[in-house]
Amino acid sequence: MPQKLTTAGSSRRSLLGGISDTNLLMSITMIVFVLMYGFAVFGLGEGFLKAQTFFNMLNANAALIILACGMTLVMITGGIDISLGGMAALISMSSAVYLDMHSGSVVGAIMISLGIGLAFGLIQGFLVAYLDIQPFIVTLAGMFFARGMTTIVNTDPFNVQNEAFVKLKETRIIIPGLGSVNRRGQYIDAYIEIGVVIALVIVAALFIFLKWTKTGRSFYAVGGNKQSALMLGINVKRTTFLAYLMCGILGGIGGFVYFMHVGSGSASHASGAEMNAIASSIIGGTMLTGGVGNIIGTLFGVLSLALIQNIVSSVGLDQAWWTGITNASMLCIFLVVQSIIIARRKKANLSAAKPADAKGVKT
Amino acid sequence: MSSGNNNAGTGSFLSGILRNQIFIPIAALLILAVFNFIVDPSFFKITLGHNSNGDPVLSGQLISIIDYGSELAILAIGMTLVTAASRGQDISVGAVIAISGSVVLRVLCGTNSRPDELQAPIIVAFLISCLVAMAFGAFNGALVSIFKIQPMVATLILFTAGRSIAAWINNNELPVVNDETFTYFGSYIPGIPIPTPFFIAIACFIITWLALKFTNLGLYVQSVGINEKTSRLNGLNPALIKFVTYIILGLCVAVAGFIKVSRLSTINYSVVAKDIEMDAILAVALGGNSLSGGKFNISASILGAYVIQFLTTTLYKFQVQSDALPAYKAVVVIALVILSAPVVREKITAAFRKLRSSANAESQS
Amino acid sequence: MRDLKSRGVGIIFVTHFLDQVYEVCDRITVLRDGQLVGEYEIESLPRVQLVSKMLGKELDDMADIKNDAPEFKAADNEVVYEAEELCSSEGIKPFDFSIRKGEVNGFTGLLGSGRSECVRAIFGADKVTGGTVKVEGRTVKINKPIDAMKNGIAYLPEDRKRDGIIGDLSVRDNIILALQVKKGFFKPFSKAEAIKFAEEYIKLLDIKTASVDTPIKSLSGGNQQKVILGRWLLTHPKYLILDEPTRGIDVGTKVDIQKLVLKLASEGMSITFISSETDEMLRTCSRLLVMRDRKLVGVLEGSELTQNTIMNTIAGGEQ
Repeated sequence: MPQKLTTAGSSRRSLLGGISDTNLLMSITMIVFVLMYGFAVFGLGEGFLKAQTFFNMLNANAALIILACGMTLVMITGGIDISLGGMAALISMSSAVYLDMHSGSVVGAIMISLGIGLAFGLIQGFLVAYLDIQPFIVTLAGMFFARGMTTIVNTDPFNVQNEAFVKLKETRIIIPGLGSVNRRGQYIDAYIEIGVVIALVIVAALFIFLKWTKTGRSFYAVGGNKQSALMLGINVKRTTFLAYLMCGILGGIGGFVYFMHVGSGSASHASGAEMNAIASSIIGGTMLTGGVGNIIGTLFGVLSLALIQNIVSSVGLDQAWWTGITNASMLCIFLVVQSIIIARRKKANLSAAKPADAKGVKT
Repeated sequence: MSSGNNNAGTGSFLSGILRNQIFIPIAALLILAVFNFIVDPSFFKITLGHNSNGDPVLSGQLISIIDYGSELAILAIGMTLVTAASRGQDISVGAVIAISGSVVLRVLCGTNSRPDELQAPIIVAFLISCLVAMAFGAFNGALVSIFKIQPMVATLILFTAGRSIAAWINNNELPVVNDETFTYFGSYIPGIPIPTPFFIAIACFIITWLALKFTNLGLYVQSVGINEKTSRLNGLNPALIKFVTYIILGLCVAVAGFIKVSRLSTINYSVVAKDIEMDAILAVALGGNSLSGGKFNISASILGAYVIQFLTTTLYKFQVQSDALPAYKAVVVIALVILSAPVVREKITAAFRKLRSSANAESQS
Repeated sequence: MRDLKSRGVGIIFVTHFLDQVYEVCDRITVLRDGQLVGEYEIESLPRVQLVSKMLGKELDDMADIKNDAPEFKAADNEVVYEAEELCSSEGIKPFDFSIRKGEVNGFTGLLGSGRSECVRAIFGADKVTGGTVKVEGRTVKINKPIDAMKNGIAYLPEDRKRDGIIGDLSVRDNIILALQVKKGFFKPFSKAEAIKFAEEYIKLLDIKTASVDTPIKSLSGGNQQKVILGRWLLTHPKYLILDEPTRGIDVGTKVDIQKLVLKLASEGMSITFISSETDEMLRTCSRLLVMRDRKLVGVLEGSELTQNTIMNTIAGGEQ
């Protein structure tokens, strides 16, 4: 087998195969999402038919969408970031303390949030990209650091009273024409929160970034095969660093959006958010091995998780632990499916290599 | 740090230190001890007193270190093996401790959450919890070895779901065991002034030592961790060996969980063994074992575990809240991994060499 | 590729596949051992000459063949290993193969022709997908390396660093590894036994190492190779497979290894020897199996063992 040709050929093949696999995984996710929604509408009553039910899912998960986007970015480059949940908790607490105990402004709180995200992104990115330390260890330490810091900033959970912030938090964007009539016959407007708009803008921006910019494409190259990426003239270290930096900043934005939704500071906030973000990315077709992933898929991943939680709680399994168990089982199932797909693709690559040889012999 | 041999020409002094793995935890221990001695010598005071039952007990900071560090030391045994074989860590240990502790209580208390007498012998409860914890270990092991998922992602599943499962086992009730004997495992056996968990940890260490001496566990685990392909070509089954290390870790988790519930005679699902995964990983790293697998030294990890507990106790003494501890430990972890990162070590070696050559040049001139 | 060519794209095509070269290329640049051998127009270079350029032997000085080694009497001894229609997941065509007690044979062919894949299939290193195998007349199943080891087969892999050494482990552990695995999980050697084995083979093979506790990765390539050879000799195999044992090591060690091969064979061990250097193979082997494009294309014995016939067979019989 000609050495050069094989590598070039197989990487192209796996790239094409990979994209079709993402589309496959993503389509599965979308179909499952639609089917589940249908099931919910017919099986569990009218509640799911209201547009507001759907919007509430968005409202509750806007922060998760942003965090999952950051996670998708680093996962495409072959890394991972499990400090995101801790970061969100730290940001909520810091902003809350700044707003209420130091009577700060909302702009200041946003600055603090972005600053924390930036700091995490810079340090973690440097350690992973330039010092070559396993991303899991770095971000695990980051997670514990963030959770510990949250307690150091303030021990007790509390609700923020700052007027400007409360006003911002309660701003609702009315969606005309999708409202519903309640039992007393009043018309109630359907609404979304500001966070949802931010999340959707970020999804759109990242979609464009990953699809059509050079830097975005180099994320895939680095995650797919570092060696080949190097040969293509990509600065692998800088690209990896950039991924963690962007993830950190998205963590900052996501943290603030989370804070806007809950309006309080607590050390136990956003617990398990990192797992949900990873699960969403994986459900949406991002490969843990890197090089494959899609932002739109991630969006549907978040929505699928949210929908399952809704369904689980409306069939009566409303104890707190069911959320954790269902999310974890979803992650588990999709991880196993992915690993099977990877194994099968390896096999397919091998058998694809054989006919080429046969041809070589014939001539 | 793991092997301390890839810079053979660094000079016998530096490489000699690096080669001896157990040096790292001992050095850390000495630094902590000296620090505490300067700040407050009473830290080392051990007094013989009597507990409420009139039995003699030793007390003091050092005693509490060997007492509360024991669960960690037991976990460190399994975590070291898992790290060595699968080049990654299990972050679900805390959650599985909650599960196995919950199982112990469930078996001991039956359906009644506050029974007057035990519904099953303690040994039965312990064995069942061992089986359950090993089953969860097998779950993690299967994901890692058969489905080839990175260890930390695979164990992330139980890391998140574990405490929910633990709560579900007891229907979210908090059973309380009302039995004198049950508390012995987490405190003192009447007449013996040294805390029982320390003896359990020593027993685990001896069993591990015997296992390493009378089987090829050590050789196989290291071979698989260092070079999977070569191991396979020499007749080993890498997947099976990784799988087995996760089951061994499951057993360690069950023992640690048993001590945890014995201490309190009850359980708090969200708090029991909280953040212990961080400590266990830290113990492995502090023991000088590479977190990316390969060679290992169990004794160094166990010593590392007690050093971590030393650190924790020191931090408590400075009024640091237990929830804030992870922040400090995270800094220690990062410092350790930075120091052991190949890139950094090369730089240090180069700087060291430069220093020496300039010193040589000076002495020659 | 021709499509690209017609669009005016210049292409450098790096390959061992001669068919493909003659199919698509206009000009050939031959490199050997990191040195430029020459650049030739495709019309002016017949296949056989290309092969001779690649192997570094002119067609003319091919007459100077051995034989200092005693001629092997093939028919006398019993067959140690026999395979029919063996094939593996790595895409080699099913092939028949057998070796007798005390015989040295070899697979030859250009790099990537499938010679390594053949011996890997014999050892069960790749996934075996078909064929029947007999060891000393008994039909056995060899699907995993441990099966082969239990049947007295040993395999020194081509890529020492990737498949051979356990870098961080000591020379002692590297030497005893295979025998230890064969012996079983619950029967570890005592430290004294391990040291005794290690020192025995360090002395026998003249391995240069500071001590038995030195990590193998700090040894030179030749000494690492000897350690792995020692590892397999320690298992006292009936049939030893050596895949490129002489690659990337110094000349002295190369000669040592060839001598050792002949000595072991005279003591009754069957050996398959693979090397990129044909004269090494001519010096050691009594039978050569020629591979081309992952297919067994010829078996050369006795008087056929000349550089000339080997090259002709590799090139595909054309002059």
